[in-house]
Amino acid sequence: MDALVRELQRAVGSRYVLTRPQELLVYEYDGAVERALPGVVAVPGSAAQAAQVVGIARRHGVPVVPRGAGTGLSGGAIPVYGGVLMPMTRLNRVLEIDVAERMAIVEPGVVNIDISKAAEPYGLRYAPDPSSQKACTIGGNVAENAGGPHCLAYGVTTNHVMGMEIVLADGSLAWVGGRRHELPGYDLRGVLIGSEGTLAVTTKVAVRLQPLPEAVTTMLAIFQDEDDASNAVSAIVGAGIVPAAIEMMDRLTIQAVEPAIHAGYPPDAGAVLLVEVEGLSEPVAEESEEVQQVCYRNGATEVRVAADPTLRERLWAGRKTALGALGRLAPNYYLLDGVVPRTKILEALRRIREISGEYALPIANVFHAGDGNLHPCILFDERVGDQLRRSKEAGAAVLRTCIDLGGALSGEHGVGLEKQEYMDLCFSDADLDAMARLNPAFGAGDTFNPGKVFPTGASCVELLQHPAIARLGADAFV
Amino acid sequence: MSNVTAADLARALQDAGVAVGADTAPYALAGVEPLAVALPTTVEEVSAALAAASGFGAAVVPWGGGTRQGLGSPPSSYDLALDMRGLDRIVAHEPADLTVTVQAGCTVGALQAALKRSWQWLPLDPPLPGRATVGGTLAAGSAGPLGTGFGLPREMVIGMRAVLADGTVVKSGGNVVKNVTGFALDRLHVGGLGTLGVIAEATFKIVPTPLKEATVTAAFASAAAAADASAGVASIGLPMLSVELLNEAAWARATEGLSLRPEPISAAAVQPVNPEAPVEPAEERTWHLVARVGGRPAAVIRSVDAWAAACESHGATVGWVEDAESAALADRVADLGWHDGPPALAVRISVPLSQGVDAVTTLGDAAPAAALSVTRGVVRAAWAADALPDDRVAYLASLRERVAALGGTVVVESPTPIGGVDPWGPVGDAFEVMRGLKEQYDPQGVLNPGRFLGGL
Repeated sequence: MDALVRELQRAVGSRYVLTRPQELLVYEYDGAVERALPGVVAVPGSAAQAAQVVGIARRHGVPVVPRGAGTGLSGGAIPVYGGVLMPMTRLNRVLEIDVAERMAIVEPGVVNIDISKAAEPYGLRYAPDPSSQKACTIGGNVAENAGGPHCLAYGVTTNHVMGMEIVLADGSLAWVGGRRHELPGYDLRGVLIGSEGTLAVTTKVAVRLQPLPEAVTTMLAIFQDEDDASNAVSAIVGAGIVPAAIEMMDRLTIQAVEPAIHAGYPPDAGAVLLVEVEGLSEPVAEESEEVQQVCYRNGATEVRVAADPTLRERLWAGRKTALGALGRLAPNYYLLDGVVPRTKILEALRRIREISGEYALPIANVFHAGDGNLHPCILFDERVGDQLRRSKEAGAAVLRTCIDLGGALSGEHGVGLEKQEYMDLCFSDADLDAMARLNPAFGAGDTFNPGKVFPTGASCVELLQHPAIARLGADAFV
Repeated sequence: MSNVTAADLARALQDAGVAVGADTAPYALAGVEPLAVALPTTVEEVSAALAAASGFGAAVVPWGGGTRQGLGSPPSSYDLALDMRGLDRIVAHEPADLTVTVQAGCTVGALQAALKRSWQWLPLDPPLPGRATVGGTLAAGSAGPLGTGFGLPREMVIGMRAVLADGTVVKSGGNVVKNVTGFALDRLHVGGLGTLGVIAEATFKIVPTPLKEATVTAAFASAAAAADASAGVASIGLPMLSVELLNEAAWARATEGLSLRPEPISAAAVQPVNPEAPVEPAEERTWHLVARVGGRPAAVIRSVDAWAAACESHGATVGWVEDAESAALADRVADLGWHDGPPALAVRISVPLSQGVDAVTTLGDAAPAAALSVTRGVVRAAWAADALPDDRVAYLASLRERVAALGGTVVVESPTPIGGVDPWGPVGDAFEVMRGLKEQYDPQGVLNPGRFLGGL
């Protein structure tokens, strides 16, 4: 260990190598609940230093776990096998904004929203907007293939990243993808995005920028029940409209939000939809009119419309504070990230209600309805009886429901530690074996973020000792 | 490499329940016919055929419509043609989900026709869509003009079933539009030319068909003026489908026999189409910008206005067509040089966007039909058999040198191999990883052997 630390100190400088327990504690957790202490923290100040850190760790036979802002909700940044934790947060420069080519090259530690802020003077933005965009880094977004409310119209991280500079396990730097639209060869960029930091470390990212929309209109539609709201979602998409975002909150969420922020939701509201359309002013005017009509036809009691930024922000306020407000209802919650085809939302919510009854735990739903990306939030108190165990079992039942309805385990949070034991609900052994072969192809071995994504064969009892239960701050937003 | 005989291979396929074709001649590549042709009709039969072939170490070439078999080197060995066209079903289409799952052998044209009944489409526009299959189009991986509005084919794929060399069927992704469960193995097969596995089934996210479309055509005295005009318009977020800059030969081929009557317009007032309007003469013009927009009528009208104004202010003569005429012209532009089947020689150049004009003009006087996808920096060019450069090897070597100086690459596509020309050019970064992928997924080296980048 001493030799490892000395070499890391030579590589990145003594002040950027942390070894004292009180320093390491800061890096033992992320947005999920699993914890594990790193052996040592080394913070590189350049891509070359990151490559050196990887080379040193490899020689010493210890893993490297890259880390961005630590906002991940599936345990992706937890160093379960110790080793070197490598925060990428010193690499936080926007290196280049190329207005003509509508792209930017940024370092991995750049915070998501800062790309759009840097591009805004040129009338451009970076489209994917994870709900943690004020904190999360683009490097972490690449690792998890992050989404966000506005991915309905524009797609997720992989659709906006043109290429990355990476460090391979042998400590070499390479570019995959890049400035050009077509490159011969396999799409290494594409398999690395969403590989949760297990195959390589990202040291630069080339992202595509898009013009800012000329007009944006936000609508908040209030429904008497979830069924009507779900039907409205299908009807909007079925009418040939693809809004920038369609978000939904259910009755329980509304009951938590209203006393917290006084958004003005009627006390008997069963569900609200937030729908945002954007683009040229003419189609935005037409589409917002049609969305309102569709909502009223599907039983909306009221639709509030805002085109002004301040008023739009007010309509979003309830949605953005929903998760924090749920903390008023119970001390703990277990936040899920399942996906169903959007035509199955109604059925999924119905079954989630049944699961809630069966396990005698309230489940709130606040989610990206347009994508069918559910965020059921199981509310419980770990100090009371077997609620912890029941929350875990209810979570498994919800994920099984998503799969039964033709969906998936995770829409945007990643598998990480949280869902690795559920992977066989989605994939056969042959599928998982094929995914595992990426590791030797990249020569990764146990170098990067080991112990993630794939089932470890841990029994249910062991799992219960490590429930992935989020304890997020009041400003958390998924 | 394999010593398998035609009779053994055919018997093994039949024992595995896979139909065997009688005629190997249509599957010849670079003058070499395979020993046998497998005609599977289900994913299970594709799996059985590959398992049988790999038992002999037999080399397999997957086939769709054959329109892109000129891509890549000739196979280093070739025993079995795996004709995927028997898998031509649309497995599931849920209009309200905007998703479709389709078997690899379905043609792009047949898929579009089926989606159109729900007023939806898959924005993929390979040449010869009536022959090009979904699987082959994905394996080739490149976008047509619609890449401007919708990106590469890989952006539309949300799930896939692929069959590995040993017959293992592997699923990745799913049928939901947002999904980070497991690694995105489908990305390897899109653009992988069937060298890591055979695409058997793909699930796409699809989009509503635009309510209206129109195409602005503008004749410019120089490519640079056209690019300047585009740069101004492209930044305002119009609903672009494609922006192609065609040279004179490409324009002539695109409009040949088409009863196209572009209406001359002034930016001030967009008038409805008048079918009696004459085609604007363009004798001294050499470059034709073809900008296609689609969306709600109001947005389309405004886009046409914006394009017309920008082009006129750069000295162009401007016209426009709409709806069916616009779509017909788009088909021709997508088919560039492929109208009568795969051309004798085609190249795709990809450069940083700012180098696009230099790339399309560097093709020079030997230039065939060529088009620059203006906002993507991708040039497509095609030569007919009677118009090939005198010394193809020297021409392509020099072209590659000039494009490399622009920071780009040239991919050469030709049904007959050109001695001394590597169709892909030099390998880039991380080639060892690509070699590693081939070793992991096709350790015997039997899938399209030797055809891909760097001889993979």
